[in-house]
Amino acid sequence: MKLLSSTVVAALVVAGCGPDPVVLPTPPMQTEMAALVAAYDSPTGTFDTAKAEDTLMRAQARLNELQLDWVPDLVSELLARVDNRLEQSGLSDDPATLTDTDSDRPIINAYATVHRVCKGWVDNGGQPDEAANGSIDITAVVEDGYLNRDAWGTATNCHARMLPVGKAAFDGFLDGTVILHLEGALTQDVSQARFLFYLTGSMGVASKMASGSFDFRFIEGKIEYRLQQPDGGDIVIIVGVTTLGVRDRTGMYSCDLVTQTCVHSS
Amino acid sequence: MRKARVIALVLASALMVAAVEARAATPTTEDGLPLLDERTAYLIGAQQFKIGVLALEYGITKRVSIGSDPPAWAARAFLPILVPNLHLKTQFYDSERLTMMVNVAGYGANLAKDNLPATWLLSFPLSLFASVRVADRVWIHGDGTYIFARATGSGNVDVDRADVAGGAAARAAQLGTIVEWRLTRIFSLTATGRYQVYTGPLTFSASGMTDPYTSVDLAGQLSARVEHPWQALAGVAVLWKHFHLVAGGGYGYYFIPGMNIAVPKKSFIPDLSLAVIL
Repeated sequence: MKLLSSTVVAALVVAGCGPDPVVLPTPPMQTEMAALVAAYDSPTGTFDTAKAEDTLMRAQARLNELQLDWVPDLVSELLARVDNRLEQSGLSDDPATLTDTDSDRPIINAYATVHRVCKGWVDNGGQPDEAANGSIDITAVVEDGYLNRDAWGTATNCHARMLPVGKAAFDGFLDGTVILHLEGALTQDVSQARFLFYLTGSMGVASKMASGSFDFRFIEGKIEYRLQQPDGGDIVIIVGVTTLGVRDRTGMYSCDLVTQTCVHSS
Repeated sequence: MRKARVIALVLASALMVAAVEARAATPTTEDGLPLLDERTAYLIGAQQFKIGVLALEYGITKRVSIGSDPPAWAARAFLPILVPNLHLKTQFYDSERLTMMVNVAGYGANLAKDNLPATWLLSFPLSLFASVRVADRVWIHGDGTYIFARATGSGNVDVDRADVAGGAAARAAQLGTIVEWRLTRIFSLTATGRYQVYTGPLTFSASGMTDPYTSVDLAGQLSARVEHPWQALAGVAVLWKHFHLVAGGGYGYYFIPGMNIAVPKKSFIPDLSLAVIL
């Protein structure tokens, strides 16, 4: 009997009663993000090709406000870290697919949180200085084997120095709530990233800051952003390396930057 | 040369049989019936060694035995993990009608990918067995099992390893029973049932730096897709003096012997156990 009680007690001590179940965090502003995704997929505004020159001028002004030369690279780097973590655990990095299609497999719920100290605008020899340069936290959730399309977090006084390929260094600033809607699989290749970015807070570069809400979509190197039309509704401007396009409620337009004209393409 | 090999084989077999005969017999009832020692409260007996498909067992004393489960080792052939394990059985009550035994087992498995720091899944099934001789030729064997499971270490968990043949190696509570009807001295008909009354998740977490500026934390859990697996089997048990055979079949979810993890696929279940007791 003594041996019995000893072995039972030993097993209980070693094993314990098990930790509490993991409670997945819930993405914020889900309704608002769903509406934002719809605004990009099915814009409500109408593009008048007769006013293409005016529209393209306003599009350029909006582009300057959005600081899109460096933010996509910063976000893509963060998502690559999340991708790496999920991959190490054999978890799905693609919101379109189940971790494993075998329905006999267990239910997998998990979340990854990336904490990145921003590099700062002054080179300090590679030593992270969170107090001076701020940070960004991003959380991604895998629910029942699926990677949730919304990853989110907070940028706190983030002074980021980015060196986009083929461009000069940018000293950028982010502060506020960030939500990323994943439009495709996470990737280590910045140029292949697909996400919709939303920030409410402050964003800019050293010489120019702005506060409010900002959003854009990055699809494999192309940047899309919304442009409000004077007569109501939004259209979507699509900027590639050498191309410019417009999506409105009727379809797609291709534009010529030299002649400032656009034609309906689909 | 071939003739010599045959002679050697016959001699070796004869020596083994002689050695077996020289050992103490396995436990029997007062009226001389051999006892079923798999998934029941009965043990193999002092200084007995059992080599079987489902268990390796050594009787330290009449009431204490230790062993290991070959199915968990054999699983390495088709799973990406090795599952070393050990169990200790202690019979703490034995009367003419009722026998009770507790089985404490431990299983370990590294759930991390080969190139990452280890995360150990530790699983401790704790089982209480009771065998009741309800009539001269009828026994009811019952067990209650609680499986403690915990992931420790780096927290890196490869879900391909953690699912262990389709069933999450998670906390669980199970009830099992065998009704045994002895038709002759050594031959029984058996009816077996098992039901998982509680299923809990297996949680894991990991932290690490990917570069001097970036840290990534991961927290998650695996939960079995089937919350209450069950099985119903019918079969026979033949208890020769040194060879025990249990065979049968049924329907439901297969519980990996020893680990008692349910494979979450309902199907026909074969039941076969063959053991030599030396």
